[in-house]
Amino acid sequence: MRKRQRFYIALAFLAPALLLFTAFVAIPTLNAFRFSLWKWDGLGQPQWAGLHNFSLMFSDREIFLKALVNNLILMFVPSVGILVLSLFFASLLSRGIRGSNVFRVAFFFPNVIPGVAVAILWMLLYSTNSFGLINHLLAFYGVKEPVPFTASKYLIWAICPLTVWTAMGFYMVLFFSAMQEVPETLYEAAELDGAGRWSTFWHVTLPMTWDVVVIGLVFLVIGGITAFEKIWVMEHQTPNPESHVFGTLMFQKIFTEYNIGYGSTVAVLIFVMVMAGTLLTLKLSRKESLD
Amino acid sequence: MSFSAFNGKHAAFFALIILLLLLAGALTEMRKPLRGGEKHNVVEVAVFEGGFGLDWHRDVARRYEKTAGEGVKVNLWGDPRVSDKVKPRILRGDPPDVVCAVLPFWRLVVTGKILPLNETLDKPAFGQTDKKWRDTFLPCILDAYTYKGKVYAAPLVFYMWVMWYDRRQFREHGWEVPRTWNELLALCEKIKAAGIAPVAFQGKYPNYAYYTLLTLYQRWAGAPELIRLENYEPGIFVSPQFIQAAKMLQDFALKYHQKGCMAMSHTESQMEFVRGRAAMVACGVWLEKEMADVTPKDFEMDCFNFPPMEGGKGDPGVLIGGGDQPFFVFSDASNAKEGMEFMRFMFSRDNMREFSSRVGTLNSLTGALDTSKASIALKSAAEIAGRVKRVVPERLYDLYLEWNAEVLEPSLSKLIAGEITPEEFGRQCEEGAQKTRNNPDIIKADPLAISPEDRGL
Repeated sequence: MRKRQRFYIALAFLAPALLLFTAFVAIPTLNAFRFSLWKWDGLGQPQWAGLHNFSLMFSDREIFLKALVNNLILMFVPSVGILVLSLFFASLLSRGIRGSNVFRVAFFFPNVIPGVAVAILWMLLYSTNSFGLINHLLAFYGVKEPVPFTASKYLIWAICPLTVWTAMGFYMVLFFSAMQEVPETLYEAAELDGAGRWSTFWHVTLPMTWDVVVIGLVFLVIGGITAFEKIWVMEHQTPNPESHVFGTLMFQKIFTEYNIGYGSTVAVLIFVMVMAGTLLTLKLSRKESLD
Repeated sequence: MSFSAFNGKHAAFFALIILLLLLAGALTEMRKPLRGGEKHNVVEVAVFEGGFGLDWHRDVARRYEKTAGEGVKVNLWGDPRVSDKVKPRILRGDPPDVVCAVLPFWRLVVTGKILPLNETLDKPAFGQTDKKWRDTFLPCILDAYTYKGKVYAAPLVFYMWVMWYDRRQFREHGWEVPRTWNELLALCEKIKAAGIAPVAFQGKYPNYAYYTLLTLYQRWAGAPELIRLENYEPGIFVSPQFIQAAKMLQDFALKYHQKGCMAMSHTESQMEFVRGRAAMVACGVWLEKEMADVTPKDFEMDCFNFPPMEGGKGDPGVLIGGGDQPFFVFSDASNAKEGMEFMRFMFSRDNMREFSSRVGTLNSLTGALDTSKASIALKSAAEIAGRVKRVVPERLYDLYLEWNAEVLEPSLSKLIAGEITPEEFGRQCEEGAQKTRNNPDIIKADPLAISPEDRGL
């Protein structure tokens, strides 16, 4: 096949994806950058504002800082639980425990439930009404008043366990697949050297799966920065400064307050943070993987 | 065909097919609804489809077609997400003629996107030729839609803020509807002693408490003070009367709100009420309709007006409330004139009376309610509305979206939860309000009039 022919064929197959990417990712992203420099309510004529929206956002300390802290909580707290648990279970499964297939499906199952459904499910668990399982258990153990877990003040912390529950299965399967690739001879050598389980995990399993763990870390960082749907659902579409993250703040600014400029500024910030977070994670976790 | 036989022509053909499919999709989305043609004078009406449904609207549209004569057609459509469908059409300059949707009303007004109704409001009302259309509305209900002396919308329904209870539960426990604030507090103590939560609260939506706060403020300080607050006068949120009202609300909430309510949505807390686990709930008159599907059959839902306070200056004849489901006409609509005429017809006394009877709610007109077949609650609401001396609309919520979302609601939430003092709450509201007042971009609505007869209220 001639080179030119191959080029046209490749182009034909790429064209739909490229078109969609341009229409729904590239152009909106560029527009977000553009709108962040304008004052616009989405109805009248936009007015040039320069960096006004950025200075407004950074000076809006109560909301901006709280949203940043909430994003950081969602980035780090569930991630620790997810990493530890998923590596632990993946390692158990890779050692071939009985019924490992059942466990794999059981742990992965929450990951296929849509985020909105997960949020509703946990709202019912946390509920202060008569059907709230957790508050029932607490009452059984002597707690007199129902704990309002999903009140704005506590919401970010209440989201951490459900994030772990939802995501753990995915990372477990990811790490399990990587562990399956580790040559058995390495484990045999470690055993001959008298290495214990912890030592084998630390010196063999983890270094051999490090590349995949790093990918997992990147996903977790991005997930923490782009958190939105669970807060949105659990706050009944009206988050307040106690429970805002950048995603909900952006949505509120654009669709509730009709401040397109400010909302786009938050979107730009999310973009920059995702880029910076990803690069930083990759840099910090740079480690030679073993051949 | 083998892969090697796949050449440039085939590739171009596939690319063309894909492009055509994408274009077809885009064109389908962009197709225009039925508009004015050569033969028909078509009015397009887009309506929010909520609990009231669309049957009544459609019947009115058919009747209008007959009344307006040959050639006039009403293309009425509705959707629960009508605002999402209308927004891109506003930007394209091709909006429906008449719209009832949750849109940034004040932004639309100041940007000249919607038309004033004054001329049509001064025409005779349909079926009441001795009255101007404007004079058929409840007193002051159009104030909330007035900007620089012009009225930009007409609301379909009337809501007011009342306290709800179950007659049967009250009867069984020997409780009576309170006539004063102290009686209400005493009643709450009795309810608490019976092991029932006195008041359910929609904690996830602190703005529900804002309406109660405004009611307490009016009952304590009087209507002129409330109107000053609605006019966003400097210093109003740190005034001793406002702080006192905030204190009363906080005491009431901490003592009598159901435990755990701060994590409950409106439906969750109202469910607690209809299940009898909370004896009362403060809400707008829409509650009965909103909870109809889950209310037990033996539940005798009823409501009472917030009682006057001992030592307070406010008259209970003044209500926090106003219009809802406003209809307005777009300035760049293709048939705005006919749209206004349709509205005048839709808001006739007969049509509105039929609306209230069919959907079981109050409407925005005076005396357009037939209570003979109404529920207990609607009769009580109509009775309260019949004694109304003035309706004070809550406008700040829609006018100052940022202040509301970022200052008022979070501070109110903390006040109710006892996390800040009433003084701190007042200070936070005032600081936020001052920042808003200093913002050159905010919309300054016409101040509400404090008329001489209000002085004694």
